[in-house]
Amino acid sequence: MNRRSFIKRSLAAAAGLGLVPSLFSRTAMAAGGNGKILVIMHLFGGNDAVNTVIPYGQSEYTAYRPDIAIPTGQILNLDASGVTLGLHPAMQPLMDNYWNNGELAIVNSVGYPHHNRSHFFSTAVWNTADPDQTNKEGWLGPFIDEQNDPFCATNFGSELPRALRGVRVSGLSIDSIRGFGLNNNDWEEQIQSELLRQIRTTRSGTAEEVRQAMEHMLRSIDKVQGAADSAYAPTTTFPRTHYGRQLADVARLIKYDFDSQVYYTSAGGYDTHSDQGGVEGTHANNLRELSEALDAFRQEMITQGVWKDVMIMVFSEFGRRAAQNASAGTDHGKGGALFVAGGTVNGGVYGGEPQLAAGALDDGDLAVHTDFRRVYADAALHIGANPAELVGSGFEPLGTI
Amino acid sequence: MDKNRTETQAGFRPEVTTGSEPTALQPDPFPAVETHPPNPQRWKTAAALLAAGGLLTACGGIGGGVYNGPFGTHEAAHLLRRATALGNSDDAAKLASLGVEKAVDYLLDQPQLPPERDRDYFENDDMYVHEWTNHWLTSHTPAAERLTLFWHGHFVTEAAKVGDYMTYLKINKLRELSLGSFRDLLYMIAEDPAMIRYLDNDSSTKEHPNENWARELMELFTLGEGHYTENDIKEVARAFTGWTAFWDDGLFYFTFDGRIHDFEPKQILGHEVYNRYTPIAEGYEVLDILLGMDQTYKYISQKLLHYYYRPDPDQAMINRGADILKGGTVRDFLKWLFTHPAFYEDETRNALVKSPYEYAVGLFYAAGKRQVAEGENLDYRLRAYLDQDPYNPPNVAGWPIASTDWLTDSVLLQRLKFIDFATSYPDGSEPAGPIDYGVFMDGAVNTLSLVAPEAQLL
Repeated sequence: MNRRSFIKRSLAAAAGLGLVPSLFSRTAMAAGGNGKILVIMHLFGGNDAVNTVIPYGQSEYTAYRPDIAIPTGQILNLDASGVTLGLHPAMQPLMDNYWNNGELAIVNSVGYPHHNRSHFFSTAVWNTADPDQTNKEGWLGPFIDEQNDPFCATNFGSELPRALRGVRVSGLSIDSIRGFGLNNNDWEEQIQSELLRQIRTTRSGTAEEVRQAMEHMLRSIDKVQGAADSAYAPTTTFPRTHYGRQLADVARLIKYDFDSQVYYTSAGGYDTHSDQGGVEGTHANNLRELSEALDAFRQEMITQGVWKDVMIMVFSEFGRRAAQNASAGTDHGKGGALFVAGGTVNGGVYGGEPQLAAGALDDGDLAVHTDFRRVYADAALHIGANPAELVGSGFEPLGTI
Repeated sequence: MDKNRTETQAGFRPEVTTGSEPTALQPDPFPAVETHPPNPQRWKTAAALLAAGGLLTACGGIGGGVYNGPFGTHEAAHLLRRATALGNSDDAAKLASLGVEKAVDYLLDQPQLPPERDRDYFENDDMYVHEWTNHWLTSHTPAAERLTLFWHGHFVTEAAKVGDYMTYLKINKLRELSLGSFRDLLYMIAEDPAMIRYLDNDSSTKEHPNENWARELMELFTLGEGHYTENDIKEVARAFTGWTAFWDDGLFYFTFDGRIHDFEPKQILGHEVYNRYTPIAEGYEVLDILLGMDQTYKYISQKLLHYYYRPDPDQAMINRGADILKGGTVRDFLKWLFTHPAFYEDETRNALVKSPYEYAVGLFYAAGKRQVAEGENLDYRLRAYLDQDPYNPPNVAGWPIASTDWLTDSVLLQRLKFIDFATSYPDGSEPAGPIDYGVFMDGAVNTLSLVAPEAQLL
């Protein structure tokens, strides 16, 4: 008997005895989704919107940023009507294969009212979609609770983001597919049998929380390991970067027809207080790696024939100041730039051109004109959820997809 | 430099014993875990108190009273685990023999400081974490190590940004002051060159004040979110212009540079801060304003209680702890908590989750190890598998505190895989101490017991 079937049988036996409450039996009820896929990417640290989607027609741009402004000739002109905007030159793949195919929606000046410049507070707001209740469950929590299946949303990374925490059920969090399992040696087999024995005894308090975490882990391993089979390897070559590896694993799980409708990834490096660089440098490298990985992911989704089902949403918890600081970097700001991408996206610029004139800024930051929850409403509709249940009422879907 | 530490430590560390128990992977009896039998002594005591009438309420009352219930090895194991994250049955027995008050005094003794190493000692990056681990495993004040980890996760700097050696020096300073007053800690950290560089105050000038330090000083180090305005942040940043660091012979040092200081008055949290003739004093005045606010101590009290007591301490405990911190030292606070009746209630025991570093150090100690062996790359395992690099907190907010947030599927799996590493002895070497998981977790009988949920608890 192989490892997976062993776990499965043991868990099934435990469930049959009524010892594993609800968790195992849930799968039968799950699969209520509409088959669409949402890939969320969090650029942690506060991505500098002004050097990502560049309002280069305004004289303030170079005046505010003597050390880090991108020379006009190198900016990738979007050529969109009514606005003078261009992408950072490191985003060439995004320009060529997304924007030029009408598969990229750019949402400018995005954020929420009374913006907070703290990474953690602002991340919590984006995660709960409620600026007044950053401690509650995640904005996707009601969806996960309703699906009643921890596999309906998967995070790549060690810490599960609040966005995927429901009241009763939370999403899955794994580092990578490859590293996720116990081995076939004597000791780890002993661990496994002992674990299966241990989780049959319910406890109270924190011990019970740990017991449930162990049960969750066993089921997750069993399920995810199926995707390690070479049959599910992506045929596209992904860049060997953080983004590349994460999106390759997402692509593999999609090919495996994994239960998840939502995939969540994050990467740091955007908190560019000093020496953020211009055409080259820290910020450019981040944007380049992001664009190259997204390019490979698009190709793989097309190959798999599911590109029309995919919505990618790339956000950061806030934008940065309009002007650079004395360290050739930028400090925390407000309005940001958000990308929605995918095979059925309504490509274009949403929210107009960010205004840099002193009178248009909010305390030195890009003002917020579009509430991010309008994009979340688009995402909710995409995965077949009721936007009002996820983000509250009063947020008209923006229509990016 | 001597890499194989031979210093013998005073204190409760047991004599080195060899071959005291079979090593891992012997056939293990089942069940691997026994529950702790209820302590009959406890019932007798409760009955006696009830008989005395009213005394029980007096002792269990909010904020007041000192624990006077039974203090055997069962209770001592709980205290030891919470205070130090390591220990074995011998250690617990020794603490129990002292009685609760002396046991707590013993644990909260003046921190033993490791020998101060120069930069050349650290031949590679791994040795920084190994140095700390070895000290934690052998110090006669391991409680100071768990507390130092707390302060390091509170006053965060990341070695990736400011360098390993500057972080090492900062951790040493935190250890030295760990049990002192919060004022001393805050003053030290404000002048710490690693912190100044980490939060970019070295690039803050009157023309372009950098707000990173000003923001985190209030949001994360003292008041907590929501107790200041964006304008306060701007003004605090201006007050700290000129607080910078200079490089000399391989190290950064704190200095004040008046040329980049903003000499205009500042309005901060309702106070005017303006010192034209001693401009460096403006930074200290800001610290004093923050140290004068009750909210600072409530914020620190809540965080310490979460780390040492329960995930959701009640407001009365938080307020009482804040009062103690405001008028006294961290030692006073911990002594109050560790002798508090509520600290020994069943709901407190095992209510917290070990952080990965606590899990690793505790397991090493329980497995009889007293140092990281040559080639045994604990630093890498912590960073790559267990998700806690002690020299690099994930961000300026530090690590999750003692909660199940640590136990995602992938990290929980790695904790189980770590058992084999921690309980294996390279080249058949003998462990330096007894193999004894009795304090590491409740109910352990053998190595396989480490799979039980209780092994994750503190």
